[in-house]
Amino acid sequence: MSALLEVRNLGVSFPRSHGDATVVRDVSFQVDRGETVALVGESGSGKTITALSLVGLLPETARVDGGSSIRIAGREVAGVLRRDMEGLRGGTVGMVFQDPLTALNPVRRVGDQLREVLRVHGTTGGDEWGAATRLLQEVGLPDPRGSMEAYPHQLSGGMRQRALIAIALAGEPDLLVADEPTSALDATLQLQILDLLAELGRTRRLGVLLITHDFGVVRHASDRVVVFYAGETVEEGTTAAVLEEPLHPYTRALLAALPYGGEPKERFGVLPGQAPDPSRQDAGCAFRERCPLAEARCEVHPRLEKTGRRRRVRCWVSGP
Amino acid sequence: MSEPTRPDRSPIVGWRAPILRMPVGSTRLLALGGNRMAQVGLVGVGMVTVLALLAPVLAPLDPLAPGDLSRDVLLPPGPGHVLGTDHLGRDVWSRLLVGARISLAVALSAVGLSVGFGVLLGSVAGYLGGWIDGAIMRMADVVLAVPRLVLLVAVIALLAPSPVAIVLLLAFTQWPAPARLIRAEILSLKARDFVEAGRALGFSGPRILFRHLIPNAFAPVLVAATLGVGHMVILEAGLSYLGLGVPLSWGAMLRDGQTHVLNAWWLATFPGLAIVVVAVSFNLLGDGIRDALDPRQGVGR
Repeated sequence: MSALLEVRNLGVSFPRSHGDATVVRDVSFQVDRGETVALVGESGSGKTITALSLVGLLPETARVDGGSSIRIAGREVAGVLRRDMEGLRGGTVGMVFQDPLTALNPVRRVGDQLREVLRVHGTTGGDEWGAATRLLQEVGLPDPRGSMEAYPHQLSGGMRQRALIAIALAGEPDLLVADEPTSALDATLQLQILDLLAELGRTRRLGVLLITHDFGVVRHASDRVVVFYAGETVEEGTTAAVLEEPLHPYTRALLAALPYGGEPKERFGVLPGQAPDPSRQDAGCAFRERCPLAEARCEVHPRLEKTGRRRRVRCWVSGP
Repeated sequence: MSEPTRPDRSPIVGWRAPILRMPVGSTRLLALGGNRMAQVGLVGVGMVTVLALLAPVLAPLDPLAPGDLSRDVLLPPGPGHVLGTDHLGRDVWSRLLVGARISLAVALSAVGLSVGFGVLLGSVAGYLGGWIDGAIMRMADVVLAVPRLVLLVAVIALLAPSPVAIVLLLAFTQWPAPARLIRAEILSLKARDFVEAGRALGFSGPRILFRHLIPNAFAPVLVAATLGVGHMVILEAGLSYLGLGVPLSWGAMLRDGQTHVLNAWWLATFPGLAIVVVAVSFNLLGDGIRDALDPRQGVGR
């Protein structure tokens, strides 16, 4: 059986009058059923654009490169028009957004919003109210019936995020895309929501794509991790392997910059410089100007090479 | 600005009618945030509405039947005729009550039509953008560019001034205002996350527009509609005063009364007062709704 989600050679650019801005280039990864994969990278590294391209929600001005391939549950969706994706959205791919307060319609009751999704996708045999209550129960809302009647602002942040997850599940998707689902929550709630996503992945056999900039989230919740830098996937592997033994110098720098692990008074590592401007990219490795290991051969763009079982890295120096 | 919030609920300064002292929440709109001017407006609107609805019951005399021309003509206010009689001996109070029905019916239907039409066009323009937006909003500009009264007078002079035609014309000249308002609202709303979330859930464009965006833009439209009623009452009265409006409306009474303004002041005064009361009431109510829906606008009052 093929993977639930298979992204190959994805490229997304924004045409500009003075040279296109390529924000995603040559991104490849896959997600299986029941598996949580984290896309990790800094702001502007292309992880959110990658996620939006899965559901055809890229900005109108964005262009998907010709050689890109995105297969979701066996269906090719790269280059499919926005409106033709309607059937896929919600039904095959559900999205959980970062800020549950703004992602819920402020003037409609949570239950009505949930039932609307159930109705649009026709996923219940008429008993929308019962199905909605069961969903809210499944995501762990303490008072499902009461929450149905509540407006979004009447719920707490954690309850809102649970409600938002219930809404994302209402279309019975195979793949759940969660874009920074815990960044708007405080630390204890983050863990609860991550555990909930992991549990749903297991019980519903969902593929979960977790987009984050936080290695704490990666460590806690993901089975595998894909590291993004400057619009490319630079490293990929099981979470344990990548955290234990990062191969790409960027991944190493990121992990060295984490505030935990070291002595309390020790300064944590800082990566000098900044990511290259997406409209001025040259042929070499995107990371070489900040890379402590850069050599002459880094002037040639490295490919993503397999180094082991489910392990790939894009680097001349630390590669295979 | 640093004026402390009044903790004063003493019987005199902070007094409010008990029935209007409601808890914050869904009833806040009805209580109009305790804004007394708005409550006055609400009472005014309510009274005029009740009088208009009950006009056939309340009117003591037939507003159309002329009185005894030898006895009843131009009687000043007094027993029998609380507001006097006109030059044909008809009871002014009865005519005022029936006129309330007409003035309000014309104003409300014109506002209803213009808001419905304006919301539809404005929201579609804001949501779709591009050339559709351009086309709709340029149409609105054209309507706004023509002096309204001149247009109304010219068109009504050409056509027969039937009440339906007047309502349609008033609505036609009014729709750009709500259209612009809701377009601006939709433009800011459609950038919000819940719209993107709706798309991610597989909602169609029309569903997002009509079920999610327009309900969120309800508040300013309600305010504009309320203010619009007062406006329409005045506009309709103006047309009737020029002889182009609906017979029996307050504007028509005003015109009939002006020839006798020196010897029978009550003929023009009472319809004029009625127009002012209705227009002011709707304006106070509209301002009050706006303040109640948006507490930030109440700062510094």
